[in-house]
Amino acid sequence: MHTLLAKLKDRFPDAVLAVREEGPYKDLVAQVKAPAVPDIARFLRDDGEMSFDMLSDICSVDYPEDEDRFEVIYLLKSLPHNHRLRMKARLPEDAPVIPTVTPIWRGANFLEREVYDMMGIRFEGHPDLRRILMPEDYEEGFPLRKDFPVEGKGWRTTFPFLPKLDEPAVASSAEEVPAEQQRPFLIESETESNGDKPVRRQEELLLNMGPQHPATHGVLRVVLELEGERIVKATPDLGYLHRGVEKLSEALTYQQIIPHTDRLDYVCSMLNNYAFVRAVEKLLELTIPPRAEYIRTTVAEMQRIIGHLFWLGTQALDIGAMTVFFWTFREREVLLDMFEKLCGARLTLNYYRVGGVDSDFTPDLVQKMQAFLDTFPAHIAEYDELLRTNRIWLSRTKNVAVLSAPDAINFGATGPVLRGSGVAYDVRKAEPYGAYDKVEWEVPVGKNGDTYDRYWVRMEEMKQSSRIIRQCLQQLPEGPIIADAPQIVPPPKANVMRDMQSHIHHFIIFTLGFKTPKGETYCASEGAKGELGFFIVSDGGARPYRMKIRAPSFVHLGVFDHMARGYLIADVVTIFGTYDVVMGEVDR
Amino acid sequence: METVAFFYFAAVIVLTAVLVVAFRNPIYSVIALLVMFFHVAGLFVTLHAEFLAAVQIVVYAGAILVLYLFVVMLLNLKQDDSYQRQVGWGIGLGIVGLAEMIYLVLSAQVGNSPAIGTAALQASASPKVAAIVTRGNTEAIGYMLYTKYLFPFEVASLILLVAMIGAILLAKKGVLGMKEP
Amino acid sequence: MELMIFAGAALVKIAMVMIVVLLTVAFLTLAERKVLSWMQDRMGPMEVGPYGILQPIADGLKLFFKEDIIPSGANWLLFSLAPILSVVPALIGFAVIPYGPNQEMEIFGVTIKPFVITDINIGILYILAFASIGAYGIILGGWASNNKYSLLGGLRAAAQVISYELNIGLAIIGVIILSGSLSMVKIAEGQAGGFWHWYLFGGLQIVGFVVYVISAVAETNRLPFDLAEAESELVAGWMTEYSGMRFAFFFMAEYANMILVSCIAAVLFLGGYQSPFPHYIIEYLGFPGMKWVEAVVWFTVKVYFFLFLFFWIRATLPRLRYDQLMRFGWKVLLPLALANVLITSIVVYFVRQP
Repeated sequence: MHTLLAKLKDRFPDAVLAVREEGPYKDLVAQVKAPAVPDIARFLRDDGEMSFDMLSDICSVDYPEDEDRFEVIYLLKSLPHNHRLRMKARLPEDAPVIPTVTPIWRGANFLEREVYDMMGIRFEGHPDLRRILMPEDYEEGFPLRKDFPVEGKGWRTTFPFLPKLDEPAVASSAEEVPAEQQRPFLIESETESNGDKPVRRQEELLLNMGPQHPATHGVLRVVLELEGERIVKATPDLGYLHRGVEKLSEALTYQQIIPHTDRLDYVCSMLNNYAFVRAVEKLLELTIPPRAEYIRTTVAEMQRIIGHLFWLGTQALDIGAMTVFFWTFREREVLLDMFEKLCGARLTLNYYRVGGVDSDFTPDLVQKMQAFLDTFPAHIAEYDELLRTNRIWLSRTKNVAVLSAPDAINFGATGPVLRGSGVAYDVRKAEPYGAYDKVEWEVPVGKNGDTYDRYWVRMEEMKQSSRIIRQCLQQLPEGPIIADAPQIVPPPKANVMRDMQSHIHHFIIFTLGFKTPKGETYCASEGAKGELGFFIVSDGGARPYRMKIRAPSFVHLGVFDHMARGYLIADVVTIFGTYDVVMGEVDR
Repeated sequence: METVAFFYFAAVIVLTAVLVVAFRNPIYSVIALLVMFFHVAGLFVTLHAEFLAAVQIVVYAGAILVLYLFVVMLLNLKQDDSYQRQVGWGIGLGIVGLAEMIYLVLSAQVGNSPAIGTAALQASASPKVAAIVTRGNTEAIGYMLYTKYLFPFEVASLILLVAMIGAILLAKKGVLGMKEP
Repeated sequence: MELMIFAGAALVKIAMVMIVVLLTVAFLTLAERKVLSWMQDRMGPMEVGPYGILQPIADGLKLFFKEDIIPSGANWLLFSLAPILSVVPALIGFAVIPYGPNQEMEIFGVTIKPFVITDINIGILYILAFASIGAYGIILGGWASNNKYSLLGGLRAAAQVISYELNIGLAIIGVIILSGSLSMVKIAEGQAGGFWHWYLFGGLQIVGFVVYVISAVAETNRLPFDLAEAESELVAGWMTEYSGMRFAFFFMAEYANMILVSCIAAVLFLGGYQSPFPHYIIEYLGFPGMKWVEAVVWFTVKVYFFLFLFFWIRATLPRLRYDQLMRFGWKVLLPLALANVLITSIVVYFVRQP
């Protein structure tokens, strides 16, 4: 048995019910008693040998038949030792209550709220336990429970909070809600408002930013409490783009989920495809032919460049430098044209397949990429020149929204946000996949954790990405682009219409899907925004029993209040930009 | 022509001055004050004091009143009823003012004092006015300020300086006070 | 009779200037979009007319026929008043701008100056006075909209306009000391005889010029000082609730203000209509009577140089933050402008000493 698990069992002989190494990749799993979760969590974080300093995600699974119906799974990551652990606790149906771990990992705040929202598990001692993705007055139950139908409860337009189209428009919204039912957005939880100290002072202005606002990058809503222009408190309100992807995927076969992952971080959709197919392949123990691995790495890095270009343009536009936006879109256009050549789509690409990729590179495309790589560094230098030598840009980004390295880890920040704070954690280096361990590249790391450092990190990452693409294209081996696994991979399209056996084979895979071994797996990949993880629980069928997406932007928005306090309204848009939030990923 | 202009400006000034205190909404009061400043500037123009007129608008309308507006909007004052409770005082003061005006008008007509009426003023000071018009009144004002009225001018500057330092001190104290727990 | 001719001539001049200014405003919007597009590797408006030349007309028509919306919580009186308060001061300033040589012309026995609507002896102060009124439109529009973004935009605008007006006033004092007059015509006249006589070079008003240009950009609420409308923070600032013609008025005011401050800069620092050479080129060509044509061209070129500068700055710079803007205005520009006034007056005192 793994030494860590043994140590954990020794330290908490009663509270730790079982420890085991699961699956072919020997994932560390500890089954614990629910009331002991905070103690164990504190030990896991603080003990030198464990030091699970980052809480990647909290997932919940519903097993209606079991005695203890709910399972809460804490996905832990240790940055110093680079290992992962899954801590699980079971909860009975009649009392789904578990102590919070917010004091240990502050990033747990949003994650626990999501579990509460989706599964109805209450976290004792949580500072602000409200619904997060669903509307606050949603009374239809908890969507991810198994007794909640996938198609929803009833016809959507019968929800009382939705405006009805066939009714005449309401002339004035003031009378719509009776005065005693009108309540402002719940800024403070009820427990904080007791005592004679008023919750909100007279001078403070409550400003509702979004969801219809030009700088919120989609439909993010933030309620700001202002003193003059200074932010006293910022409360993000999410869920305006909630589609219930996790619930939907429980009714879809694995191949059918891939297009849904496109819609998560729609700016660089292939990275989501990649993360998902990797999780499924991990579950299936499937090995990928080397050419496919190289192609995957290449296009993933192209997507990362697109994502960072998009980020650079929008961040600059938010701060007021509009020219950079158009320049970055010029380069993005070139890349999008290549994707159009590669797979026929420009935004939602749906290119990766379980076992490989959809189509092969053509020599023409490779040539185009090389041409792009030849000019791209000059373009980056051009953006950099326009911004980095500009004192206004520097004063708008330096020392703005500073996030220290311990805070960043504690909040679970990943990707450029974490690296900007000086922590060299990149899933591509820490847990190499694809061809990342076969090419030479570096992880750029910032120093101060301010907006400028995150800007610098992303600019450097674009350069590193182009380095990776160049090496991948040089090393690109010959061979098949999809694994030879007839149980999983459909036959080539050319055969399907000629050969009866292939036809049947094709039909079976696309109607029934493929079976996966029973088990569960968490697989993290480096998205453009940070660690994008898929946690899949399989009951042995062709559809996931439960799929949880660890969306980096969602976790980053949990840091928003911490980062925004004390800055000015103008900095709010800088902070939106510096996270590079994409709401499709946050709301899922 | 000039008399018509004078009475127009005077009437509007009186009317808007009353409105400044009569409006219940402080923003309307500020607008009334703005109109009043403009008409005061107009009065200056009829006296050939263009420089004063321009300065009146730059300083009062352009800077001071904007600051008022700023403060009124920042504080978001509710409509104030206190004026309505002081009607008694207002009537009393109004009677006194009216009596003074009647007395002045009567005494002016009786004694033919040169203190009343623009025509009389211009008649009494016409050589000076002519000098101002030829030299340009900006220069004339500068000249007067730095020669004949140098001492009052310097005193006024000193008072303003004191007020400025006092304001800075007060504001600074408030900032420091807020930082204390 | 004389009075009528005089008034008629003045009305003709006003009409001419207004037509030119409003046409410039209209095509300035197109020019801005085109210049920005070229700087940003794109085409700009191309659909309406050849090369999108009729785009301003389409825009104007669209705004004209838009529904006029007054938000239900707004104060309708101030809400309607604000655009007018914005646009009138912006247009009224053109009355004292000399756009051609200080010639006199006789029509039916009445002497008039054809190239300036009126030459009043406090010209520059007059412009400053009305420019300061322009802030009311912004503040009242922001307040009357009953919208928090508008209010914040209005407040920002108020603070910004007050701060930067002061700098404008101080920046031009150097020029006024040099010329010894507040009249725009006299200031322009004083810079004849080549570009080394312009106050920018001849008077060494470089500091004053830089402070003026920066403050003028701030005064007109253009990038990088467009905090009052900052579209990424405050949606559209004080204009958030405006639509249709009211919005068009604000828009016109912004562009008219741009033209106005460009005209002032051209007159005060770059000699206005004066040729950069000791003589007008057209005189060498043998048409001394047509001198005024060249003068107007020089003036136009200078004004358009500043307008282009506005676009250029907009394409290049990001937006300042509110506190940085205030700090820059009060702690950098104001001391610079004061030092400029002090040094200029001392130098002028000693140089002019008989």
